[in-house]
Formats: sequence, C-alpha cells, structure tokens
Amino acid sequence: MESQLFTECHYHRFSSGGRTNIYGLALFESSMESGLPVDSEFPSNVLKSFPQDISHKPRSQKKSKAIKHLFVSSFYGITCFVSAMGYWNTVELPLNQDIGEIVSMDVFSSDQSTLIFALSTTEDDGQHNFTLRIYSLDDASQMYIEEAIFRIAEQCQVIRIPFTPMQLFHTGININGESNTCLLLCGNDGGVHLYLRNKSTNKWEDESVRSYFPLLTSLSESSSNILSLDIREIGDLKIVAAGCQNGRLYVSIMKFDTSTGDFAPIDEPAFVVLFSPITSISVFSSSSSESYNVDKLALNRPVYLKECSQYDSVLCSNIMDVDWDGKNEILVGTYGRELLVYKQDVDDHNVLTFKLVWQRSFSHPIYQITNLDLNQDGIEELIVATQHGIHILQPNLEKAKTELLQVLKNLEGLKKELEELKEKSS
Amino acid sequence: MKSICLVDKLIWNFPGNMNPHSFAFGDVDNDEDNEFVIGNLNGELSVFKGNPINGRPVMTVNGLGTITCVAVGDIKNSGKNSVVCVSAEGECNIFDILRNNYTSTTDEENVPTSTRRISEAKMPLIKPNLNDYSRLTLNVPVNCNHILIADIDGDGMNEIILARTDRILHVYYYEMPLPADGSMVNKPSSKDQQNLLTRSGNLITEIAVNRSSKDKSNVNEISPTLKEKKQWFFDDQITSLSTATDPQTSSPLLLVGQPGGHFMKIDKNENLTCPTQMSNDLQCPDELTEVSTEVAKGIKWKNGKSYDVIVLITMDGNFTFFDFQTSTMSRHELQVTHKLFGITAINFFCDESEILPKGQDDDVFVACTWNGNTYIIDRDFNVVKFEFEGRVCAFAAGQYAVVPGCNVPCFIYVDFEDHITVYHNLRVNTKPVQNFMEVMNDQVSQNYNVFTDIMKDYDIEKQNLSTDPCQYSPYITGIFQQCLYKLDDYNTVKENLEEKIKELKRVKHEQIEKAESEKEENENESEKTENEKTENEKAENEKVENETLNEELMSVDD
Repeated sequence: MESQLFTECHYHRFSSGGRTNIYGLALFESSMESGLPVDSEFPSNVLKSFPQDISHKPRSQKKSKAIKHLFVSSFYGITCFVSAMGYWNTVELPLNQDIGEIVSMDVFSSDQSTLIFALSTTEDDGQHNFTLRIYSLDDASQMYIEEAIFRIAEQCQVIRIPFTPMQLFHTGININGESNTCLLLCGNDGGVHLYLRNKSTNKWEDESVRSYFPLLTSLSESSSNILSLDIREIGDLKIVAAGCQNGRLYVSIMKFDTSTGDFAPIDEPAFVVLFSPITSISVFSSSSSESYNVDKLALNRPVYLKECSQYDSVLCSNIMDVDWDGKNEILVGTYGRELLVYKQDVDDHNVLTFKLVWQRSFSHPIYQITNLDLNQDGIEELIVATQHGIHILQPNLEKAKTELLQVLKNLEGLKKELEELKEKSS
Repeated sequence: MKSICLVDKLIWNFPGNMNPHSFAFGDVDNDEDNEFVIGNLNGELSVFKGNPINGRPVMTVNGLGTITCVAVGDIKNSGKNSVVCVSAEGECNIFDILRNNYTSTTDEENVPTSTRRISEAKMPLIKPNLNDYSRLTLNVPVNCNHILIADIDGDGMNEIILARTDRILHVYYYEMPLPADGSMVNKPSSKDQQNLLTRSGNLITEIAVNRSSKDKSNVNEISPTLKEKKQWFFDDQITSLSTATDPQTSSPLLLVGQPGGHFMKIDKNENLTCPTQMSNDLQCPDELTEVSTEVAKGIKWKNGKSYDVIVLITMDGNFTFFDFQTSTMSRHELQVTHKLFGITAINFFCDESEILPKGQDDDVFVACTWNGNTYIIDRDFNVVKFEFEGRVCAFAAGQYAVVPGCNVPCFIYVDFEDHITVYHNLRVNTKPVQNFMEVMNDQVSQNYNVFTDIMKDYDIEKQNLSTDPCQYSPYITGIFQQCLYKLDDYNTVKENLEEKIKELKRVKHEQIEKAESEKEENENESEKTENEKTENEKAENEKVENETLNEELMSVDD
C-alpha cells in the first residue's frame, strides 16, 4: 500500500450548519501578521469577537514578508485561517445576517487597500436579488490581521447586480502605465464584469472588460456562461483560461510588451470543445519553479485522468508539488467525495502522462482544494474544503525531513569540496 | 483540541429503542472474527457480521422480552463463546451458534459506490444465513442492567456478573450437570422461531428449561443452571462494571462504577474497597455525588510490560485516570454540553500488516455524548474530537472484523432512526498538531554550517529556538521551504558551487602547470607577480560569489 501522502491534522466544521461551494475559497497574501499567541485549545480555538488583548503583544521587529492566509465563505459568514509561526488562528467573521447567502468570495489587497473582501450574495426573499458587496480597509498595514478582519466589516459598498453571480476573481491590470487590481465577476448573463476602484471617489465602478481582456469580451458576446476562470502570469506571459457551461474551454496567451508596458494577446485565442460544463481550471506547469515554456499545442493533446470519472463530477483541482521533487502534481476533488493525486511522467515517446499515486475519501463532496504554509513551518499544508467544513492535511513530516536532510547533505558536501579545493589552491 | 472527520463507514438496519448497554463485541461463532451483537427493548436480538448485505443482521431472534444487557463470552467454560442476553423480566437466554455457513459475495453490483475504492481490497458481503443455533433459557433476577463475563476469583473459570437497578450485584457461575439420555428436547416451538424457520428454512434446535422450581421433573435435574456465588448490596446505583488486574498480586479485580466519580474494587477474596474515596483530595463531594459515573480499563505499556489504567468519567465531563500502583488520580475536565457516556478503551493498532511487531501501543479512551460528539483521549489527556451527525442512542467502540480475518477498531453509533453506523479504518493520531520545526529540531545544529552560511543572525535564531520551539525563526523555515519547494533555486546554488569547484580545479591545474614551467624556467620574476595577481583575483571572485549565494538563498524571505 502506498504510504499516506497526507494525514488530516484538523477538521474545522462551519458553525450553525454553514456550507461552502466551489467559489468560496480564497488565499490572501499579505505582510500583515497574526497578533495572537497560540491558544491552549489550538487548533479548535475560534475567535468570534474583536480580540481586546491583541495590542499587548509586542510587534515583531523582523522584516515583514508576505504571508498567505486562508479565507473560506459559508452561507452566512466567513471563516479565516490566520497563519502564524507554528500554529494558526481561526476567526469567524460575523457578517450582518441580512446580507443573504454568500455565492462567491474573493479576498485580496490592492495599492490603495490593505484588505479587500468581495462577496456576491443572494437575498433570501425568493426574489433573486443579487448584490456584490465590497468591504475594504485602507492603511491597515500596521494592523494585526485579526484586528483588520474585524475592522473591515464596518465599511461596505453595495452594488446591485442584474445577473446571477458566479466566480469572483481579482487580477492585476495595467491602466495607462499604472498597475492596478481589478475585480472580475462571472455572471449567468454570459458576461464577465470588471470592477475598478475609482481613485477620486474611492468607489468601485463597473468598467468595460474589453480593453483589458479581449477574450472575455468575445465570450460575453457569444453568451457562454463562464463557470470557471483562471488568469496567471508566468514570466512575461499572461494566460487567461475560461471554462464554460457549454463545455468550451478558451485559452488566450498574452505577452508583455515593453513598449506599451502592458500585456497584449500574441495570437487568436485557442479553444476546445469538451462534453460537459467545465467546473474547474488550473494552469499546470510541470516544474514547481518559475522557469517556463508555454506549450500552445497542449489543447490538441488532452490527457485524460480516467479514474476521476468513477467519482461523480469533478468540482475542483489544484497544482502543487506534494513530494518535493520539483515536479508538480495534479490534485482533483470530486462530488463523489474523492481526492485524487496524479503524478506526471513521460512515456517512451516522450509524451507527458499522469499516474494516479494516491487517493483519499472524504465524508462530503469536495468543493475546493488549495495549498499554503498555514503554520509557517516551511511545509505546505493541503486544504480541502468539503460541504460542511475545512480539512487541514499535513504531508508526511518524516518523509519531508528525509528529503530535506538529503538536500542539505548535498549542499554541505559541495561546500566542503569547494573549501578543500580552496585550501589546496592557496 | 484537534478535530477529525471519519470517512469509511457501514450503515446497518436495526429497529427500536434500546438500553445504551445492550450490545457486545465478540466472536459469537468461534471463527476468531469478532461480530457485533445488539438487543432492543422489543425483544429483538441481532448479530452483525462482516459487511452485511443491505445492512441486515446475519441472525435475529425475537421475543426475548425487554433486553437490557448483552454479552459474548465463554460462560460455559467450554472454550467456546456464547451470546448471553438478559431481559428486564429476568430471563437469561444463552445462544450457541453451532455452525457458520454464511455465504459471502464480492459481487460488483452489490457494492455501494461509496465503499468502492481502487486501492482497497474488496470487502466481501455477508448474506444473512446464520440461523443454526441452540438456545438455553435460564432464570435470573429481574431488572438487571449491566452484565460482565469474566473470571473474577482467579480460579480459571468465568463467572457471570449481573448488576441490578436496585443496587444489588450478583455473581453466578454456570453449572452443567452430567448429561443423561433424553435431556435434549428438539422442538421447533415458539412463534418467533417459526418466523425464522420460514425465512431461512434451517432447522432450529432449542434446549428448553423449565423455569419454575416447583415443576421438578427429570428434565430439571439434568439441565444446566446458574448457581449464585455471591451477592453485594451497594449504597448507590451501579453505573458500570469492569475488570482489572491487581498490580501487586496479579490477581483479578472487579470494578464497580459508583455515582460521583467513584468506583469500588472487589478482589478475588471478595474484599470490597473504594480506592477513589481513600485518595479523594481532589473531590468536591457535594457537587458530584449524584453524577452517573462509568469506569473502564485500558492498557499502557512500560518497559515491555503492560499495566492497567483505570478511567472514570462522569456524565458531566469529569475525566479521571486512576493508577493502581500508586493509588493516585489525575483529573481532567472535558467541556461538554450534553451527557457523556460509553467510555471504552480501544487500541488503534491494527495488525493488518504482519511486518510490524505486535504493537505495544497504549490504549486510548473513547466516550460519546448524546448529540454525537465523540472524544478520543490518550494517557496525556490529548483530546481529539469527532462529530457524528445525529443523536446517539448507544455508542460502542471495539474490535470488529469488517473484512474476514482481521479485527479492526470500530466506532458504532446507534441512532434513533433505526440505523447503526459503523466507522472503521480509524486512523486517529491523538498527538497534538506537529509542525515541521519540531520534527527538524534535532537536526538544526548538525547542519550548522549550511545554515550559518545562509543566515547571518543564525545564532540568535537558534537561541530563540532552544527556548521556545514555537517562536522559531522565519529564516530557518524559509530555508526549509526553499530546499523543498524551490528546487530550482537549490539547483542554481548547487550549479554555482559546482562551477566554482570546476573553476578552482582548473586554476589549481594551471598553477601546477605553471609551477612546473617555473621550475623549468628557473623562476621568472614577472611570472611570479602575475601568479600572485591571479590568486588575489580568485579570492575576490570567491567573496563575490559567496555573497550572491547568500542573496539567492535569502531571496525567498523577501
């Protein structure tokens, strides 16, 4: 039997019967730190109100670095997993009950705001009234993140939207040579709606998506419902991938143009027709590092991960290096409650293949998968969001230790060799 | 407190309400696989075996009165287990399963999708076909609600211990008179068994025993009886029964749970003491006297020897370890909102893999609340919580053979909706959440050289680390992260080093060549200065390279 790649170290169940969905998870990267020490009840401690004792902890003098935190929305609230040194703190953000149910969420920061929560919600009145709510907190970089989370609920901009909202996504764009962060909201009207914060009024406003993402405009015109969207920058390329309800997958590759200081499409978007609605897109790169070589022909040569089909619809996917070999694995989560891990390989004809190396069942459908170093110990935790809660899984730490010691040994050996040579030569 | 989610489960059907103690794990058919026996208040007793098809029991007997306790054990001291089922009306039915002839199937179509996994061996399904048994009915006192089959006097023979709701504890032993001809009466009698007959078509044997003592006949003379050995009267309700071994004499002890966090200890010579009252300096008697208390025994290992650990839980969440060797207690509190019950010792070690030596793992303790919160507690009072979704009528933890040939730890929940949920494949680690720094702690100083190169204030970081493992360095973990996830950076570093080595080797080679030519040319003045120059340059280069190396390694922190 294959040894366990991951073991569950904690399961956080949403309080009061909350549920999440496929658009309810966000990673937030910030220099804001946790301000609370490890709780005696860790990891089941949950902070539900503003922590009064937060200011007593002396601020760390260390140079602040970007730390990833995890945010998950359930029907009526947001659960935040605040990463800290060796532990994490769970914060349940109480949102006003009359905002209705949260459909999708994104959490990010921009040049103006340290922390932004964007939520699309549906009201309970049966009228199908949808709203986009944007909570933002400016100049909070000196705050502890727990404080910022409670502060942010105080200010909110509400935008009524005439369509059923789906995925919320933020991405960097370039406006007249200035970099900015925009919010994208997919809707059932076929369109992708772009929101930008007006620098003079400080309000978020609906803008045309055309000038920034031509692909997404053309999709709106063909009224394909975009179920899943991924935009990723790799080096000087920007990859825009959209998966639609009608089974069409569009991919556009944009290249950074040094003369305009912006990305521009390098050729016509490619598309391929699959047979079912596309629920999840991940941009896969075979190596875990930044080196890249985009394969434009990949769409013509699909590789089927056939075991997935045995577990009902695939709802989510994630790309990460689970075994520290520098090569990325593909993780797939299904409605049939199964998590599958595929490892890449090349066959005799030098064609990329994938092999199922590990799987684990969960008690409920899997809606989201992601990875981050939640306890800041250098090892990435695997996060699996199922219907009623969040599973935090750790990789086999003993295996990681063996792996790391090998790397250190190699490094040490090389250094020694170098020093010996130095001595000899002098 | 950690919280976990259990996944692999079986769902069985079992109707009716039940006494929370009327179930037992045990090998009822003597094939070394454990079955699960359960009885309800409507007189239905069922045996579940393996992964039963459609969640149906392999055997069901009806009309057994208000079943209050069930046990599996060798009460006849014959080397074979019997099922003992006691009703509130005072009827004790003893079943011997004569033959096991269930059919098992691995039919694909019968396996529900949820249990079908690629990597796992298929679980054969058991079809209900276990109806060949003998039944013996004996009289016991009414209103028994706890039963235990154990050898409590150290004579090598099992006794039956029955606790009654009127605070009386009875000890019986089974006596089988010498058999005489005509003693066995084959009669396919009562209505319930005819039901079974029509369902299965198997022949049922029944040994009938006249209950009335007035009715003296030759049948009575040769029939087996339960002889009472001893009776105890307690001041308080008997809330649970357990056994243990006296650490001094190695003789058996009977433990009787008493309200208020107490238990009574009865040794083989029938001396009765209350160990918790002798050392109850931790008690708050007024508060606790009426609180129902359960006692359980687990095993801990020390230097290759096993010792008994006694655990007491009160239904309001007090959890006490009692050490017989030192007669000391340690008390902990669980924050519970509902009544806590069903304390059981369980060992998560599973001998699935023969390679591992038979575990000397300490037992952990499991208890459940009525709303489904299950607490798994180890000897250091590390607690792991599992939330069962549903109200719990009865909770059982024990070893059960889901797959033939292997008893594995299982959690069994009986709900109020006529279902039994069996969780198996329990991989529960009670240890607190570990972080990688703790795992690497012993290695950090050994890799001193590598770390000092990368990190200038390494010594300060190391100091922090030794004082508080939680306050460790972001730089050290940064290095971990880089070495494990940014292998290309590591490779760049490696390549740089290798290039430097190559370069040095080349320089060295040149030097040797030069030295040789110098000898030949008999020391040319100008060449000598050039040589010095090269060395200076080289040193300079190294310095620069070392700096870039440091920068590269630090880059993740930025």
